[in-house]
This record gives sequence, C-alpha cells and structure tokens, in this order.
Amino acid sequence: MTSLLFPLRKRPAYSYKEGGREFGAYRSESRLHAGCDLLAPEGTEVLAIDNGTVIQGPYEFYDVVYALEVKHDSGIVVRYGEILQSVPRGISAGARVSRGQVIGYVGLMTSGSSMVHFEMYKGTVNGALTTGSGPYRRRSDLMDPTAFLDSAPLVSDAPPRPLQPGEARANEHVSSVLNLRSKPAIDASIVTSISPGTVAKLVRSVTGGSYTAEGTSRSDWLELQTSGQAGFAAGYYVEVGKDRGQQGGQTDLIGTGRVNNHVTSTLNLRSEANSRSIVLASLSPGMTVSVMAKVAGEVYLAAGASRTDWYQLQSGDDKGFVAGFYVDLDSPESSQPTIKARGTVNSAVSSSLNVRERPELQAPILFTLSPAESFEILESVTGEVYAGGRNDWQHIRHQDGTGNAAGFYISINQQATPKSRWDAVLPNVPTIGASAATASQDGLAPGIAASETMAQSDLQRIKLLTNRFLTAAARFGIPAALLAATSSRESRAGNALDEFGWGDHGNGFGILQVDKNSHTILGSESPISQAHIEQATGILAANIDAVEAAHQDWDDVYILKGAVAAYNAGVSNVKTINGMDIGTTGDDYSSDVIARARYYLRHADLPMFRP
Amino acid sequence: MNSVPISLSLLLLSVTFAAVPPPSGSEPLPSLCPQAIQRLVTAIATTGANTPRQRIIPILAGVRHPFLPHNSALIVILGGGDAPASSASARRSLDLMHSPQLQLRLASKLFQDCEEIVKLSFVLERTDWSASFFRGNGVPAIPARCLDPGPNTGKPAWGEEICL
Repeated sequence: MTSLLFPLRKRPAYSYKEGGREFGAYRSESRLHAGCDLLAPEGTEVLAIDNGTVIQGPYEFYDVVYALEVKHDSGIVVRYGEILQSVPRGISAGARVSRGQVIGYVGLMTSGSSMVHFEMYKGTVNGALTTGSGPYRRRSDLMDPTAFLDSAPLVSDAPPRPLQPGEARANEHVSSVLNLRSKPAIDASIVTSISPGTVAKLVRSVTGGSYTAEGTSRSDWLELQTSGQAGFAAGYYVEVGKDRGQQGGQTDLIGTGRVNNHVTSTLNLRSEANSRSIVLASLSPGMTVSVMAKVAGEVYLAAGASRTDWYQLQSGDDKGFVAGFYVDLDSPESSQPTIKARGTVNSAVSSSLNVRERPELQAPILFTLSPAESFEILESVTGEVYAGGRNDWQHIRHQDGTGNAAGFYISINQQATPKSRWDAVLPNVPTIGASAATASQDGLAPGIAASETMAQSDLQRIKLLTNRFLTAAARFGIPAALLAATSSRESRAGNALDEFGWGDHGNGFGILQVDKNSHTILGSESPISQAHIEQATGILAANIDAVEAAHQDWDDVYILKGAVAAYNAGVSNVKTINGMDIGTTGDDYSSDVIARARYYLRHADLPMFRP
Repeated sequence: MNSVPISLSLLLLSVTFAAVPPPSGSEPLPSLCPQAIQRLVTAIATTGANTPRQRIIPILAGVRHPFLPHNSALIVILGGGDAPASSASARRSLDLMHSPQLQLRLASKLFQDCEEIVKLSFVLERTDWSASFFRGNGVPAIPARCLDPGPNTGKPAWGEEICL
C-alpha cells in the first residue's frame, strides 16, 4: 500500500478526516459518504496512484463534475470523482496509465467548491461500483481510503525510479551534495556537484586515492558525467544501475520512455513491429514505459517522412512493439528535477501586483511588482479566496524579498505552453474580415479593419482571461488567440451576456456561447469558468477533426477555417473553401473570427499567444 | 443520527424571519428576491449556523419543471467546513444539514416569498454534501429524491438530485 502515490501533488489544506469530507460522513437520505474529499483548486492535476488501466470515464458523476474509474495493477480500483470532463489526451476506457501520470483535473461544483472525491475498492468483486444498496450504496469491496491516504507519499517524495545500466546517482550516504573531482582523489579540485536524486551517466570505474568510509579504507572511484561535465566520485557514495544485460537470458533494457504528444488518442502496443499485428494494449500520452530494444520494423509515415524505427517495450504485464516516433526516451539529464519555476506578472495586472506577508487579501503588503516583472516561485499554496472564487496563491522570491501573490495574476513559465500544429497555421489562414452585416453593429465599414476594431474594443476583457485561454489551448492543441477571438465574436468577451452568463435569447452560455440545445452546459457557475472555456475548446477541436475527415484534400489553413465556421453553423455547413461562411451568422463567421485572432496574435500586450 | 438541537426544534415550530442585516463577513445578497433571501439567511443565522455565501444559478435545460415559468435555483452555503468540527459554527451547520424538516420549512417559506426561485440547495461549505428542495405542486416545497451516482444514472429530472 505504501508504494501507491497520493493522488494530488500536495496534501489538501483541509483535512479529509473531518468536516463532512471524511469517509462515512452522513449524507442525505441516511446515506454515508463513500470516499474522502480532497480539496484543491479547480484545474489541479489529479495523478494515478499506481500503474493501471482505465475502466471507464470520464462520465457524469455528480452536480456538474465527472468521474474516472481505474483498475490499478495491484488489483485496487479507484473512482477519481468530481473531476473536470476534460482529461489529458488518451485517457479513456482501456488506456494504460502509469503511476504519477496526470489523468484528470479537479472539477468545480456549482456551489463553488472543488475537490477530488476519492473512492477506493479492493477489486475483489466485479461489476458496477454503485449498487444502490447498503448505507454507502456501493459495491461490497468498498474500502475506507483514509489509512492509504495518510501513508501515501506525494509524487515528489516517492522513492526514485530504478536506475538503468549506465546510470548512477548519489546514494543514501550523501547528506547534501556529491562532489565530482578532477581526479580520483579526495584532495583533487571539485569540478561540479550532484544533488541527491540527480541521475548522472556512469563513464567508468577506476582505482584512485584512498579514502575512509565507516572506518574502512577504500580506493574505489567512479567517473560520472552530468550536464556536460565529468568528474570522479568516491564509490562509497554512489548508487549504480545494475547491468541486467549480464544477468543471462534477460533482454537488455535501453531505459525508460514516455508516450509523447504526437499521440492524439492512444498508442497501440502490438505483438510485432508492424501495423497489422495484434493490439495488446492501448497506451495513453504521458505514460511511462520500459524500453527493451530498438528494432527495424514495418515502414510507417510520420511527420511527412518514412520511418522504420520501432521500440520493443513493456507496459505492466504487456510486452510488445510501438512505432518509435511516438515514444520519447528519457535521458539521465532529462530526469533531473533541478529547474526552479519562474513566474512573471501577467497581463491581468494593469498597474502593480501586491506581494503580501500571507496568502490573504488583508495581509500586509511587503512589496509590489510591475507588469512583466519576473521572480522565482518557491511553492504553490492555498490561501484566502479572491476574485472569481480562486484560492491559489504563489509563494515567491524576488530581489526585494519573499512573499505571497494571488496566482491569477502570475504566469508560470517553467515550461512554455506547448504550441500545436494549428498555432503555426493560424497566421496564414486567409480572411476578408467582417461582413457589412456584422461590421454595422459597431457602425463600421466591412473588412479586416472592422474585425480588428471590434477585437480591440474587447481587449481589456480578453487580457483578464489569457491564463484560462492558454490552459484550454494547451489541453486541446487549439491556438489561444483563436479562443480569444471566438469569445470576442460570440459575446464581446462577456460584455453581451445577461447577469447569469446567457446570450442568444437564453440559448447560449458563457463567453464562448455553448448552445444549450446541442450540449449539456458545463461550468454554468460562471460564464468565464475554466470548465466552460474547455467545453467550447473541445467542441472546436472536434470540429477540426470532423472537417479534416470530411475534406482530406484541404490544406491546413482551410481545415482550421472550416472548423471555426462549423462552430457557428455546424460541420455539415462546411462544404466548400469559398462558401464555408455562407449560412453562418452574418455570412462571415470564420472570416471575422480569424481576422480578430490574427489581431490578438500580433498585439504587443498578448505575447503569450504567439507561436 | 444526530438529534435536533433545541434551537432548531423551536425554529421548526415557527420559522421567524426578522429583518436584520446579514452576518459580518458575508458576501452581498444575490439581486434576485433579496428580501426573501435576506429573511432566509436571517432564519438560518438564528440557529447559529453561518451562511457565508448564497448563489443564484439557472437550472439546466432538461431538468426544469415543464410548466413553471422560472428556472432560478438558490444555493445556500453553510459555513463551518474549514473550522474544526468541534467549533460551534461547524456544529450548527452540521445540525442544520441533519435537519431535513427544518430545511423543508425554510424552503417552503422561501418559495412563498419569491416566485422566481424554484429550487433551494443547502450545501455544507468545502464538502460535496448538498440537500435540495423543489417548488411543489399543491405544497410549497418537496425534498429532492436521491439518485445514485454512476455512469448510467443519466440526468436527474425535475425533483431529483444525485446524492453521494
């Protein structure tokens, strides 16, 4: 049990053992609470506690939030409840997931609370988890997860992964750092040092100068390489990966790898290195795998090139082959968690950002930061609720000191937002801008200038939403500028909605106007909720797939434009390149949206939107 | 099962709606039927429970009553989820969540006072515990009928709610 991970990166600020959040707490109609509620801000990553296979989900679970069921390899079944409908690509029934993999995001209920409702089952019984009988109304193998949650390590505290042949790292005898020296002698100069947990490349073993460890004289040294620098470390302080190739009869292990983001749904693990062989398992993007060998197999096309590289790999109990294009091998350097997160004051701040003594709105201001100013992020913390019901704060370090700032106003740039195929396409999509019918609503003449003027009118509201657009964009591979432009067209970025967030005579909800007659409205607690924005983004992403399938001979610029037109009038209305806007509102929908998007792409205040 | 405290028992006999300001620290009342909501908040406050937030939301299409012209639901958040379970406010909020008859009386009064609100949900702060009441046919209010959560449950109809 202790090898299973806690399903969040941080322990909740509020106990899951009291306050109605605990297992067995009273519920309506004499029901008892069948799980523990782990409070976390909306959108927080939910992690798989172990390797496993998705049974089903995400499905509608409770209120406006969803659930995902996973059967883990240990036999335990977990229902990860009250998550967002949007999950990382590939997370669906049958997909394999790995321990610590992001499998979902914390959802927000209409009450404003957000949490993971965590249910755990022994896995000794088959059938539906909800049975309708007994005080818990659950399957008979339901467990109280409290003890597990108490003992489960956070992913950051979990035991390090096993070393592969040719790898080495500081062992438990090292209390601070492991010094690499210019020669195998304790009086040689220090070239560099390695933090505990950092994996380095093992170059060779040598006999060097003597040193004493645990009262014994030793002379075993190892030459290691890390971040391009090589040096010698005393052998007593180094853990070395076992050379499994010399253990007789076992396949060599190249190392570990990860299913990469070229995979749009799931990656087939096949019995042979060709696309005709049996599918043994489906692997989801982000999943960790053990790579046994690189082999030449059937020719396949990827990124416009012919390739024959396949990997033989293992996932759980399944061994098979996958096309090499879809797996990234881990290198020793890539596993080093040494990069500190950096933050930048984002465009939602017009004058200055207050940094406070505590994560509370009335806490004393220690210093202020200007827009675009950067700093180091020490940790994410949960604090007092501020605008929009958010409670995520960042504990930061700046040259003026350390303090706390509201997360809404900070862009975390540890990792640049990954840009998709469509980010590169968007600047080249042809457009003639708004039609006379659309432009006249603002007293403008038709054309691209009218679209840009309308986009400019909405700019301040768009700037407040950049983080939300970027989050949705990253999850669906849709340009953030296109989402901003669509919100400008649909609702003037919220300005045209009623007090409950509805427009179009009560038929469309939110800044992106999801039609209630065609969809179950998500995120209805707020017209700018992340759930709403991601529901709309998912619709747009599905349109791209549908238009691409229907018009396989179209260039990418027209596929993207067609998907935008379909957002207004449906995919069936997208018949020809020149006529795709006929039948849309104002007969100009995609042309107007594209022109607005290109305006936002170029705008100096929105550099984060650029590919 | 918790017993109903004396203060709540008295309230069961006669729900009083005095015009007093909302408790300090609470958010502004929703704009829809503010006086009716204010009376509800005040009545809850007399039990010792906190109501730090109230929220009006539209009831989703497909769940609305087929004949009622309005579709606004009121969510009342009962405070105490962040405080130790032994604190007075947490106990009072839990007591109220454990008192479906009192909730029914409060819902009935609210529906009488405000025609536009057709559903009332009591939610314990920072939990997924919700208890809902709907405007009734011939009676002021009816408690929601609980459905079990699951992939095949489907959307609750008017008068139904998924319960965990």
